[in-house]
Order: sequence, then C-alpha cells, then structure tokens
Amino acid sequence: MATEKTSTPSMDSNSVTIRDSIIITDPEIARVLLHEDKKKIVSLLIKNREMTIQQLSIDTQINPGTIKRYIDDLQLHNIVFLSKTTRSEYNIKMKYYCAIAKKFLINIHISGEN
Amino acid sequence: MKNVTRTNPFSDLKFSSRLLFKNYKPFLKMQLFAIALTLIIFFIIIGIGFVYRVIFNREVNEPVRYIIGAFISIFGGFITVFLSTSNGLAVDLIDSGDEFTEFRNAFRYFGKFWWQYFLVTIIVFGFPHAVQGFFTEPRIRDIIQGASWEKFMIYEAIGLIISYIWYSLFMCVYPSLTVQGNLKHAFTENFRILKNGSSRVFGTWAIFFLVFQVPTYIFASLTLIFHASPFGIFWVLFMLLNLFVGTPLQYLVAAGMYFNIPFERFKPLD
Repeated sequence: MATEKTSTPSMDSNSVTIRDSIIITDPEIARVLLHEDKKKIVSLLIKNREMTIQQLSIDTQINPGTIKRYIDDLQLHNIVFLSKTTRSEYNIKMKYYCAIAKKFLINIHISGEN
Repeated sequence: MKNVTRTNPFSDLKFSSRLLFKNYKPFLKMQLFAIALTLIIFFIIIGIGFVYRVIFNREVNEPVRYIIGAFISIFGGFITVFLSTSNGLAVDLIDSGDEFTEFRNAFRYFGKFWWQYFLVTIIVFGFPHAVQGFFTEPRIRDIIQGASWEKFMIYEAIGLIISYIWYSLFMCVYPSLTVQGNLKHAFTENFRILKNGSSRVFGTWAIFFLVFQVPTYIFASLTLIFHASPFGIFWVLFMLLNLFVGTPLQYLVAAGMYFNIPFERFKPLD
C-alpha cells in the first residue's frame, strides 16, 4: 500500500490518521476491497465517517453477523479501524468503525518482467 | 461509563423487550433447538419402549420406569441449563459492542460455563420449582379426587410468591457470572446489585411475574378446577408466550439491570 495525501489526524482512540486517499498496490488487499459487499461497507464508512455494525446492517440490508465478519476482514487488511466505543443511554456498548482513507485507488501492474 | 439509574420499573422491561424484538432470531433459534431436541428424545424413548414392549414382548416394570424417569429429569435439567445460555446472548447484545448476537454463541457459552450455569440454574430455578411442587402437587391430586379448590389456589399463590422473591434475589447472578467468569464474584455482585437497586429489582420482577407467570398459573388452575378446554387453550398459549418471549426476556432484563444499576464491580466495565 502506498500513501498519496494525508489530511489532519482526527482519530481519538488509536490515533489513526484518516488519509485523503490511498493507493492500493497489494493484490490481496485489492481483492478484499473489490468484494461487492465489502466495497459497499467501505463506501458507507467513507460517506458517513463512522458507523456501527447495526447501522451498516440497516443500510446494506446484510445480516449483522456477516457485516461483523466483513469488518473483521477489512480490519485485518488495515482498510477500516475501530474509531471509538461509546455506551448508549441504556448502557449498551457501541463500537464505531471508520475507513482509513476518504478514497481508495487500486493500482496494480501486471507485466512480463520478473 | 454512564450508569443510568431508573426509578420506573417498566423501563427495564421496555428496553429489554425492544432488544428482544430487534434480535429475536438467535433466541427463537435457541427455543426451537430445545424443542427439536426434546422431540428427538421423546421419540427415542417411545422407540425404546416400543422395542422393549412389542419386539421383546417384555413388561415395562418399575426399575425401567425409574430409569426412564431419571433420564427425562436429567434431560429436562440439561435443556434448562442450555436455555440459560440465553443469558450469554443477552450479555452479548449489551456488552459486545456489536449490538447483535448469534445462536452459535450459545454453544460457546455452554462450553465455557456449563457447570457454573448448572449450579446457578439449580439454585435459581430448581429451588422455586421444588417449592411449587411441594405446595401444589398434593393439591392437584386432591382436586382430581374432587376436593375443594380454594386451598389449592392459596397454595398455588404461596408457591408463586416464593418463586417471585427467589427469582428477584438471584436472577442477576447469571449476567454477573458471564461477565466476571467467577461464581463467587457473581453471587457477591448479585447481592451488591440488590443492595443498590432493590426497589428496581423487585419492582421489575413483580411486573414480569404479573405479565408472564401469573396468567399461566391462573389458567393452569382454572383448567384443572373446571376441566374446561377454553381455559386449557389459554394455558397453552401463555406457556408458549413464556417459552418464546418470557424466557429470553428474563435474561435480557437481568442483564439490563446488571449493566445499569450502579454498584462496585470486581472487573469494571470498559
């Protein structure tokens, strides 16, 4: 993965910087990102800045368990991160997830050279 | 962490009902799994009985009946303990951070806490059931033999009140055990909850009992007294309501109170 531009850091818990854009050069990460539902999730996270699994489930109409597995995979590949954890009025813990960049660009070169 | 102290005893039931409504699927799967398992065991017993009686042409004598009875009791206990893992699912909903849970997590909790849940289930559910059985079973026989039903109703009410007090005293052991993972800590925390929110605990369980338990016992008694089928239908309906709504709701209510009543915890919530 290569960084193109960065904006001001704003993440509180893990002091993760949200970048303006990221160029993906790793085919494995590109494969994860190009998965239809994961792409939808990342797109929603970019649009809404941070969301919970429940919110993502409502917006995508995907089962929260599946969303959780997708989020775990996206976290594993450093595409999204846990931005904050809060408690609701009834003390229900809520984890918010955020994309690490506002834009993801895929740049993969295939050539005959070794 | 915010700790919300509520004075309205309806609030715990309201929030728990909302949580159950939004996440009914894993709890429903648990009840259906328990029913399916019960039916399988039922047919196995019927099958064994058939083979014993018809194929081997042997009488089902007293020791065999005793073995079958013991087997049914052990299986009933196992199902009750398995259903108590609903409490783990309730804790997942409130404390996992993902606001959802899955049916398969029940097996994870069962594997992790099976003997602790077994002990707690004996204390929380075993004792009141034994008391109710002690008070009402002989009266049921009396009623069948035509004795007066007023006495039966009084004993039934006493059994119900003892159950209510007992549930109120111990139900919060479940969520505490799941969160803390220690039986001794769970009982200590349970009593701390009672100390800090006794009116809320007793008030909430009073409403729960009035909504779920009292109608079941009233219709069960009316069915027994009048031998009337319309009451029997309501009895069955309330039993189903208890199984599919009351059972998961009681664990959600207990978990809700555990996370919302402020008290000194062994391991603080993050």
